[in-house]
Amino acid sequence: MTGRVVRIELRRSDAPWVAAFIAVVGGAMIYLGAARSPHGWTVLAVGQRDLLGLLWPLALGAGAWQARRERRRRMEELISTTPSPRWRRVLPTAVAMALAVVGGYLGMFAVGAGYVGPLASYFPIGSMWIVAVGALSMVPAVWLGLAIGSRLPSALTPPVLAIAGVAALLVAPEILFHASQSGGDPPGTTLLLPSVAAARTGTMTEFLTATARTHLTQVLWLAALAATGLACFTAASRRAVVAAFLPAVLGAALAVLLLPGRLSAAYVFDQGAIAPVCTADAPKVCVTRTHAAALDGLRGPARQALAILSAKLPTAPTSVAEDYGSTHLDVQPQRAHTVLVTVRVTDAGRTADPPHEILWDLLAGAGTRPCVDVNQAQREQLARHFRARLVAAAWLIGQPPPADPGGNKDRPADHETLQAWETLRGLPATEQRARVAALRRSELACDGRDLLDILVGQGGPR
Amino acid sequence: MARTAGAAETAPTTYAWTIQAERLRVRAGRRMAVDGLHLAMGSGVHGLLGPNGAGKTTLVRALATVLRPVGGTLALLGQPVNGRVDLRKLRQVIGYLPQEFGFYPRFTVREFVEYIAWLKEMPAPEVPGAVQRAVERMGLADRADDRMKTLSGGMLRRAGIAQAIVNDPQILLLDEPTAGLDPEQRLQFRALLRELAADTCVLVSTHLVEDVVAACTDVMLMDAGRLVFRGAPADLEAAGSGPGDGDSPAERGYAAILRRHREQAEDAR
Repeated sequence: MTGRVVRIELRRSDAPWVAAFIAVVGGAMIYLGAARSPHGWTVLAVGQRDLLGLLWPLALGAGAWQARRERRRRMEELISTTPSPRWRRVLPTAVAMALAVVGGYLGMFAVGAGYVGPLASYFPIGSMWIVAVGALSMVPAVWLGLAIGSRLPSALTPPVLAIAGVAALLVAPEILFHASQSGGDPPGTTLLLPSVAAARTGTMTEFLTATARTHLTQVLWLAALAATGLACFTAASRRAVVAAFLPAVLGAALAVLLLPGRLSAAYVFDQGAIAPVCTADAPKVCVTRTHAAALDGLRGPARQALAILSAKLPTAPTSVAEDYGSTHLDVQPQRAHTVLVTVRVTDAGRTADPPHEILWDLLAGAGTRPCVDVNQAQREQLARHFRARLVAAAWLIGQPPPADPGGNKDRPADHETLQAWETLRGLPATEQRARVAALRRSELACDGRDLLDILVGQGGPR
Repeated sequence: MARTAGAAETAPTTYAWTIQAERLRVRAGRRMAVDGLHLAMGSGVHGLLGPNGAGKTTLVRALATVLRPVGGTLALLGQPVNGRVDLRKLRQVIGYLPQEFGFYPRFTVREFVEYIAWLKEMPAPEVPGAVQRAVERMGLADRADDRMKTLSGGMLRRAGIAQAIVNDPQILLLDEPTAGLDPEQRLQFRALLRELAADTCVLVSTHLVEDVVAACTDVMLMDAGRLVFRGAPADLEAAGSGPGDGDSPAERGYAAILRRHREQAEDAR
């Protein structure tokens, strides 16, 4: 009979409207996001988690609205004469609303999946965990809404709760982010917020996935929060309401113990996503499995770059591989035998840039990744670093440096860059070669020297 | 489908009256709306008459266990109703139509009556049959699967009575049940009351004197929080013999009793 009442509630309460609203409006948001940058399943799943900043307050408000139904419909009088205890009466409502918000969340994901699915070459099973935890997180939202709405049955409660939720969930992360001192990496407790996944750190890529421990800790915390919401909603006495806070307090305490110290530690490379897919013949050119379709586009410029490097420099690398790491945050020595390159891909996963632009990328810094901490370095220091890298590429290719190696190749570079290039070309040929080789060595070793000084400075290469 | 009776129902009764009140005092807000009322009712249909503000609705709400009495004693089915008693068993055998009948507009009639049956903790296997029977009895069988919000005023009132009788209550409390019913529906409703009278204690609070005379075994008249008359419908009619206000003997009796009572109250002061 209770099952039958749940079915009635699913059809006749606000549950179907809430589910439809989340699926349609949330689906539209995720469609716009996915259509702008379809970067595979994990990025889609994480992007949806970030929308929880809006979905959570929505579920809170919907719960509070539903909780007022008995009063709104003047049913309190009749209900007060029925024997059914409060928990039994309101449980079907709680179940129906929970199914509605979970259904809405999954419907929303289905919209994004319809776009990402046909384009993604790699399906990481871990991304489904991110979706599942996100869907689960909607349950405490709607149950806390029901609890607060039933304790404060004012017509103002739902809108105030929703607005306060948006304010809290959008402001709280900002505070946590600014409070964190370690170069934009907030504390692990940020993971207690439903809205914060990893996209906020700017480091989330399709190559990462959350650790199992992160998922389990979040599930634990969210389940505790859901227990508090449900217990508070079904509570019939003041004492029961107070006792309802116990699970949330325990859950928070446990979660804080289990969460990593820093948000970035919650995410690790997805070994399936970064597995190399390589050319069968030498010289070896590899991309990640995620970007397998880009291998054809990379092969030509990659081999051209290797040929140029071996012709012009004494010790040249022998292979090219896609760079899946966020190297600008990871200041460490690099391996000399492989040229790493960031591959930008189209929606269909093919190389987004024409071959000659990829060639410039490959030869920047004479075939090295920039070893400079973008968060710590001064603006002028960064400019000198990248100017030197560009001049090195221009010297290898034998063309004047373009303004922006990632953009318009026809516009000339700024005055300082052109001047550096001219200065380099004015040196004796062996000196030119020695200086570019020295720049390459310095960047590979990550020794922190001034690259422009190495290339065109008075001291010369060492 | 026949209803299976629980052991409690077939056990011999150990109380004299289904509803018994002595010096009952019930507050409605700040006002003592029921003030020192004596009452004893068994099976049958009891009509509760009285002017607006007499305390009829407050009395019905107290009997429905919505309001707790602040003085005197109240016993329902022999069980005293006070602050400490668990009302769960009692509430399972009460049917109640509030004066202001709230409902969920998106529910169908059947779903709504089913929902109330579930709240009254009826055994699940009995519910579908009981719901169908209650809906049929109120002449709503053809509208059973329509949403509540599509019903007219009279149909809503009948749906309200259907939910009140779905659990075959031993105490049925109907506050203004005939409001909005057309003449034919009122005739059907009176027939239903007579049918229920055999084994149920039905209390019908109403303004309509003729409904009480036609369908009730017993008439009670309330004024200013107290019972001022109790008797058979014929006694009410007899009280108004001779000229006076009202179009029927019963209405004349009603007016005469109230007038006499108020005059006595004036004299006493």
